[in-house]
Amino acid sequence: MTKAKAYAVIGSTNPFAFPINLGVSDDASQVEREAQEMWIVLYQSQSAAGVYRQTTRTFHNAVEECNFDNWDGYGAKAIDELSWSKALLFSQLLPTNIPIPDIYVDSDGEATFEWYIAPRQVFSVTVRGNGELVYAGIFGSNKIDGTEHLDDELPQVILENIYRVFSGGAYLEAAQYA
Amino acid sequence: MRLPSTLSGSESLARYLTQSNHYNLQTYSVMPRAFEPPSDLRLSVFRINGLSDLEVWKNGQVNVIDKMPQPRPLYGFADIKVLEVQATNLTVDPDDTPPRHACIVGWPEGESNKSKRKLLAQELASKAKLRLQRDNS
Repeated sequence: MTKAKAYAVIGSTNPFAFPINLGVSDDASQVEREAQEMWIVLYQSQSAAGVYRQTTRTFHNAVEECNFDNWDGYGAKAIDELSWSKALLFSQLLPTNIPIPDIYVDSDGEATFEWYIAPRQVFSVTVRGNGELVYAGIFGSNKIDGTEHLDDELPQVILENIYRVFSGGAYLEAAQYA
Repeated sequence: MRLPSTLSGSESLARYLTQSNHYNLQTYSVMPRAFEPPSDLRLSVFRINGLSDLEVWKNGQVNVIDKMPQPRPLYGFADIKVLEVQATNLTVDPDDTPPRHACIVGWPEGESNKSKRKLLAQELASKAKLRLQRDNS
């Protein structure tokens, strides 16, 4: 396997979205070490790792504040740590050219990422412990909801609707040329 | 004041806000997470018609904050009309336990319908008016 193929990511603007390395050869091990070194360098970049750092911070706060049932006074469940470990993976797949989302613990204890402009311009993605991405959004009079699965790349429908929050098509077109 | 057992569409319901991220100051709006139902799918609200502002805040303090395992500040409440809830095909069940308590019910059930519940929470939040504790001080 060449290094170029190992780093190939189709249709993503995120340099962190490395495919999972299934190789066992010396070359594959070398690629994995270099990918980890690159991740460390990029993590130190303020803009590139913003969402990952924010997710980590929110998780640590949640462990302190939401680590018991009924933490919100309305019967919310304690944080689901499996959901949050998947959320960290999800945060690494997000494009670096979008605003950092709001990240919070929902009533099931799961991690939710929300992009919010106004009451009718909002999109959220909940990351479940089983790798499901549960999404919902309102864009004026239009609405969308559904479920995708967390893989090596961000599902296209998730990416499109994140951009859609920020004035829809104009933002998407601009981002593609970033 | 005793409320009728049947709700009128113009009646106001209060969903008390127990977290600072339940509202957005820039847009002065209620965030969808304030309306996400718990696992029993009964979203707790209170009927506040006929109550003074002071009584509304006291009700939130006594019936929500003081009953939390680790009390938090009462930041405010989301004020939403019964007819706005009914417009989303949810219903309001006035169980009156404690007095004036009701639940928004009729949420789509099951793990596979979580996205629909999220969407309904977004819809309800978009219809609610934000009332903050500090606005009454």
